[in-house]
Amino acid sequence: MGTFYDISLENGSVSNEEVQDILDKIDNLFSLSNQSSELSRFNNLEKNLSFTLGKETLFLYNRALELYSQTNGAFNPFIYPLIELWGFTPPFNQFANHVIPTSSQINCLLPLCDSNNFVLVGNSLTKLNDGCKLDFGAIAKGYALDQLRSYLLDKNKTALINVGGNLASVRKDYTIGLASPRESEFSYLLSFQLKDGYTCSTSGDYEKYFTIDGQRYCHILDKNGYSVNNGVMSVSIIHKDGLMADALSTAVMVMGLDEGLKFCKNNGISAIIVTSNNQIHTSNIDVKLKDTNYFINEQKA
Amino acid sequence: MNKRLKHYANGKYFKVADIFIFAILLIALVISLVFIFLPQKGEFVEIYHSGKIVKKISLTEDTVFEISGVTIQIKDGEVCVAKSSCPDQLCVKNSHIKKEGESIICLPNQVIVKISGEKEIDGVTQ
Repeated sequence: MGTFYDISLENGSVSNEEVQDILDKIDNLFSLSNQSSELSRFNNLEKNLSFTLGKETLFLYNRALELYSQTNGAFNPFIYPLIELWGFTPPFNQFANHVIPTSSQINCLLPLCDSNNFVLVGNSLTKLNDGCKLDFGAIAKGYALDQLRSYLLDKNKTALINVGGNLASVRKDYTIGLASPRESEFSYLLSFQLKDGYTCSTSGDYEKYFTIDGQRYCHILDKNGYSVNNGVMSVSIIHKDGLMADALSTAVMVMGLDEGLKFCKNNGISAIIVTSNNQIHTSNIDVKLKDTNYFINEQKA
Repeated sequence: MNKRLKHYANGKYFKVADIFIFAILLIALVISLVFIFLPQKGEFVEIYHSGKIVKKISLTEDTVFEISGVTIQIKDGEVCVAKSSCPDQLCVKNSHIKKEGESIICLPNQVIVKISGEKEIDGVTQ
């Protein structure tokens, strides 16, 4: 995986090769910048041809479908045709010449971006229309985190795992800082406890974006196929399941503040939402503020 | 008190007590200056990648690890870059750092290694 990763061990050491193997395997299955990955091969297939999914891909597809349904489409693993249209595919360069798609271009691709275009029978997946594509980008890091955590638990290790900014506490409680979504003189925004057995994932409008005429367009797309622009700068989800935390951090960004907070509170999910008026909203978690340019919104939903 | 001592203690230019006070004040001044100007020995190393802090580790344990192509070594309370994949190798040529505020930068790999005093957090989510 091209993503940054780090394992801070409290005891002993682990084989770098074994860790790299785990990450390479996930890359070879799901990476869309790797043309020979299982997912890329499915994406390049024509309609009406059945494709046999490997065990792990089938597992992720089923989880993705569940999350798509649970979040009412806010988490969408079928939205890749629009990601390509917006130019957020790797390698992404913020300063390259970017063009905002027209509404007719978006509306043309939108129908391809839902679950009705895919039929799963056993482990055979078929697309009903050409151009339909799968993207596990919003869950692959969380899944990798879960895999690395299992590996470390097997080896009786105590550690803090970091996969591209997604964290997991293994056998110990750790204090975690949340990166500021904008330039700041503080090295982090706030801190919170990531207890043993929990993972944390953050999605933000600062990860991949371009600016045109002072307006920011980020890589997270809403249900209408447009870059989210709802006042939310970042969402962090704390959950025992890494894949879940990863998917929900994207989904809650798409939902926006009100719907997102409601969703988290109704489902007992711990979340930190940072909005563009420099406010911090939380659900089911205590945070300690560090960057005094921000304020904690104490209102309960 | 005998006559001689009394004579010196009540001398024209200075008294014995003055010398003591002067000595104490001088020592106090020197100690204060030492604390003000001597940089504090740091306790932790912070590693930044692309401007964001990614790792914070204690200086007390000898260790070697790699972040984004830069191999960082902690030995005897000092930090240095042992190896790097960058073309200019400026970070490797840099000397050991151990004092708070000192840093080594590898621009091509976007890595900054900095000595810091307090350990508030173990990791950063982004």
